[in-house]
Amino acid sequence: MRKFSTQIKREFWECRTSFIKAPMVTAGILIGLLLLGIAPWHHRIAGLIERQQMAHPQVSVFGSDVFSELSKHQNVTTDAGYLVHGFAAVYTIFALILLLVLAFYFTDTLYSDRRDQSILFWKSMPVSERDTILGKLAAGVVGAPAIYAGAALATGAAFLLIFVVYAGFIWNIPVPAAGAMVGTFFTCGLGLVLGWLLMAAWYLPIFCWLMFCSAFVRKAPFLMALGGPLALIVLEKWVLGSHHAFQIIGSHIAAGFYHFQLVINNLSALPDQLMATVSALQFWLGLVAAGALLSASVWMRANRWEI
Amino acid sequence: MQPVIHARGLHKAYGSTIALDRVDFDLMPGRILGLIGPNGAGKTTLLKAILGLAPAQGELSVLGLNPRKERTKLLEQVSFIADTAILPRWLKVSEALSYLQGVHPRFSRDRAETFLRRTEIRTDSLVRQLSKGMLTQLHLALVMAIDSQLLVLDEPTLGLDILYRKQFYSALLEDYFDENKTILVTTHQVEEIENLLTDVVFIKNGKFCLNMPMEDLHQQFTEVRVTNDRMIPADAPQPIHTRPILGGKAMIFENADRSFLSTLGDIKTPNLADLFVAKIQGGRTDA
Repeated sequence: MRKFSTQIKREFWECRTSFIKAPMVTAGILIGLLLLGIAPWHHRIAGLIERQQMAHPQVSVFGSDVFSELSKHQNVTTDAGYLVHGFAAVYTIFALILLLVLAFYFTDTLYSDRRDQSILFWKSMPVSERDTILGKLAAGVVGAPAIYAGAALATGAAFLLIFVVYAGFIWNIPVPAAGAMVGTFFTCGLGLVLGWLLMAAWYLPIFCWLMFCSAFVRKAPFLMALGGPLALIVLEKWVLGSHHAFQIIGSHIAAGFYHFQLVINNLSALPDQLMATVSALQFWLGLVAAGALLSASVWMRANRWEI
Repeated sequence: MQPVIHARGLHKAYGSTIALDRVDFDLMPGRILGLIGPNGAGKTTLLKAILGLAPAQGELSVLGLNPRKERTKLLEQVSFIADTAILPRWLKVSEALSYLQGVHPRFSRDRAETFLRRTEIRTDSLVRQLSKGMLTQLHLALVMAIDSQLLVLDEPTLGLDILYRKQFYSALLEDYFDENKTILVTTHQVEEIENLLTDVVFIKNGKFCLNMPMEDLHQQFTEVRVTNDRMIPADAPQPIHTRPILGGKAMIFENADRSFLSTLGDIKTPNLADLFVAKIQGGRTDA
């Protein structure tokens, strides 16, 4: 167990920037953007109040008056449920960045140490190829996402705090009840974690394919990673005139993201999405493919590094 | 006593090139073996087979294990430093220590830190910030802190200056080697390890052309320095190699009568470098 956790740590040391710094920077940028985004709103609300005071100089406009004024012009509500979509948007940004990072990570991970020859150092350690590769998979599917989830939740919490302080304290606009807001935050956080795991399960064959490419190629793993499926699609179109490969790959990617979106926007959708997943033959075939690619990567790592 | 390495008919071909040609070979514990050969002679192929990094035909066991099938278990007892020395550039020294501590059951972090304190290496440095000499020091410190039974060194001091090279081997002898450990080293710098070795193997075209304990060398090989004014009797044995020296020539004889040879000139045991040239070049004579 200690061996395995050391393997995962090793991946974090290697990918410090993309696993640790990138989500923190993303959080910083999103919080910064929100603060910037308040400025035009502030201006608008101030303008609205000014107009009101000019029309009725004897009435002071404040608090719920602002709210009712706003209601005339915008869709505003004190229903905490609407916060979910804000959280979901933020979490989706993190998930997309993470997916991009993982695509590069898995494509490079069994190739970079062959390129710089440090593979001889790793191979001098009493760690089996299987543990090496499972460690990498765990670092990508669970380890890095944990950091990204932490950063995403921190960003969500910061958004909530900024919202409450701005609306509640600066304008004294009624905000949803504290309990409802906190409850929504946690529900949505749980949705993020479970939604990610569901999406990652759909994407396992893709991750394993990328890893297999990085173990297989002599040079430029991304060429095989992208070119392989592309060649298959073109060849099928050309020879058979059909486009099953494109459909299968496309629908697999879409399915993972679709389930993720539904779950982070509405946690109660989870049981249905779970059922839809486990009853999809394509999902299980994907897992079988992932297992086969993983075994092939282990074999490649043990036998095809002399190239 | 069980040999540390036991090989029979070890064979490996890359296409039509034969890298190892049915090699038989035993290495006993507590020995320091120098594996010496020209480039492409099969040294690295042999080491890879021993470390389970590449398959080879024939029978091979290392510490009683099959290196291909039981590589992970084997590497708990066998350490190696490869020529192209190869610590990942993004790793911190402290992380290297943590990593070995995490995955290697026979690694002692205290020992490694003791070795590192004698160098100028800081534990918060990245590998990429270290000089080539420091890198080798770091790798050696890591490896010496592993209580392994067999240490394999493949050109460990390549590209280092003479101070680092001397330091490397003296550290190995003083702080690491004992009768329970076995070392297998390949190098081109034969002179530097000559006094360190207990056994020597010359390898050429995948075959061993010499394999013996160092103490047997002087029984089998004699170098005679013959001055130019000395006539060589017609019935004298043929030298395996002759090279010119100032005012005469140096001849190396194999299995010749020493008392007879001493009548031709000054005799001594040839040093490894000259013997290597003699055995690898065969009967050819340097002009």
